[in-house]
Amino acid sequence: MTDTSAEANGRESVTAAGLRVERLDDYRWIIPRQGKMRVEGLIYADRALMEQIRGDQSVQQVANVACLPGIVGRSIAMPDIHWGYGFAIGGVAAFDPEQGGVVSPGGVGYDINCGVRLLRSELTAEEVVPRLAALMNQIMRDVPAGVGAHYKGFELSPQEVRDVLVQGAGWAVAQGFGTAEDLEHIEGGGVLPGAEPDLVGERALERGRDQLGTVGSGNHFIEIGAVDEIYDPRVAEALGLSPGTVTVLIHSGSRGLGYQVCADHLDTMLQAAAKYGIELPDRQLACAPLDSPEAKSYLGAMYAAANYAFGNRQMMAHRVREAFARVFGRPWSELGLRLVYDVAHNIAKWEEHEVEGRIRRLCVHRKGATRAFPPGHPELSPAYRELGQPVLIPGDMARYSFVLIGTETGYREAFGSTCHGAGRAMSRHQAKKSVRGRNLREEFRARGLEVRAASFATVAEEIPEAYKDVAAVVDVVDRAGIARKVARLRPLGVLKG
Amino acid sequence: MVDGVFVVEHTADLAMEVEAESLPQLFDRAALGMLALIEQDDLEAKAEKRDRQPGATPQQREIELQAEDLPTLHVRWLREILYLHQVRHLAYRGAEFQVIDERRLRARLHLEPDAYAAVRELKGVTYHGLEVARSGGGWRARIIFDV
Repeated sequence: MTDTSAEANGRESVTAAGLRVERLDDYRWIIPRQGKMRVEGLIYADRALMEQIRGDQSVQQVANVACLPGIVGRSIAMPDIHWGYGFAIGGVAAFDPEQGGVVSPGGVGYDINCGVRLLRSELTAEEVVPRLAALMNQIMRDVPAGVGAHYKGFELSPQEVRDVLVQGAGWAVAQGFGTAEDLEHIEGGGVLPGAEPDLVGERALERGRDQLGTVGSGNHFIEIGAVDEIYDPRVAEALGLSPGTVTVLIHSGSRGLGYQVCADHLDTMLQAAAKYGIELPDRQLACAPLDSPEAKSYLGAMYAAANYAFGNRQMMAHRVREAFARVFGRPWSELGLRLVYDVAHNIAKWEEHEVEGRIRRLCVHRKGATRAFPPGHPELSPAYRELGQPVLIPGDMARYSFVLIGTETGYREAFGSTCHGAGRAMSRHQAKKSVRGRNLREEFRARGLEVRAASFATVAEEIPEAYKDVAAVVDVVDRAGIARKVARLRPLGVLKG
Repeated sequence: MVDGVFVVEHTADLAMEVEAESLPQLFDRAALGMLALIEQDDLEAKAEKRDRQPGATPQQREIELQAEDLPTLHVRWLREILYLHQVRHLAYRGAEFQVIDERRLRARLHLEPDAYAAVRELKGVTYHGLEVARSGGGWRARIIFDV
């Protein structure tokens, strides 16, 4: 590191985006309070990742969030942090309403409750590989993917959209698209109470009518994989994961409905920030005090969009189960396609945490970060209360993904949060340039990976080398102790948008 | 790409800079540039000549927007064009601006039923790093989209 220097307090430090960042230990860096920061920043990274992180504006964004009213503890960033808009992607921040704390759509993002869902099966890789092409074709037929993907012939009535916004994954289960057991294996039971469909605009409702159960595009996907490494046999066994177990990973969010909710409420929040005299370091951090009508309105609409996302992933999981049943000629329940877990990584929620020796009710924002509650947490469903919360970390489309479990350290230090993925290393433009003249289909085939895509233009922007190595990210959270590695999944087939 | 529109490197999202001689031209180029981000696979390629598809009937639509300042007006404008494309499947091909100043815009949009498969989904037009201002004798804008 070229400009590493030792400070008066003996800590090694680096400069990033004009800010001093001090190395606390092998996996933690502190941004001391400077300028208008109300709290310090904490970044989880090793030296190598910090070198990459310093290259963009994400450290500045961690400092910007630290300037917002009512922030408590620290403005936190996970090792997959990268330059976003408003919050950095990989940012966690908690706000106390009793100290003028705020909620900001910039801390949730456009894709409200973008998240990941993992299913496991009783099938092994050896059984699935010979029929993988047929399985991927079936999934591609059954689950719409791609830009603006929608269902022909599965359009919800305006009332049904509103029901999804209130009931979340439970709506899909009530229609027969899943089981009551599924709901026990979703963050918060697959529904956020307090959703207010009346606060969701006409345009958003309209966009929600034909997109329930669709993948979308960009980094969203459905991946068939197999467990290829176990780090914690006890937890892995409890989750139904053993070497060779075939899995399904689904990554998507609230689709156009969520984007519209974010856009509609951002404008209200900009006006609110001016009204309440909140100085914004970045307009995308537009926010309002948690007890204001503007904040309550955003939270009601955002929860509704979050419930749509839970419903979306539930519907996709159902279609994937049916695709397995068709290809293997047996009901999906006989194939053991059980839901392991479903987590959000773009959300703001009310949670209780201890800060400065007192339990407080805080609004915890996770923008590209995953909740990771420890064993014994009362909010976990009975299925996982003793074990702790499973955490699902997708990597790039060809290397591997990880399953982790929440820890007490993560709960105390990071508001029960951990990383969410690999994080991009290349811009889409660079990625596209680097694939010129290459035959991606052949490359994937040579790696034994069945890729299906609505558009190979998306695949070119999503090539594995466009992402950081997710193993490096996961190793940092594991060694820092804010989540613990359980198992690694190797992709066999991927459906991209 | 579109004349006066440049794609800016951004690791996670997409950003563009727009240069124009006048405010109407700035808004027009930004809308065409955004459509290019959605429709064009290769952003370095010259803009393809878009011949109307047989049977595609062009549409016109009046639009009126207000905002507290010019950058906000610009975001609202792009958001409308994005909405028309994503939900109504109508692609912006030009506009006649009847009124345009720092806080108000009235225009007649020329739209075409979208005949080109979108290659990218823009989730939103963000306020992050947003710049819309005079530059030399003309105008300049910088916009970051969430992808």
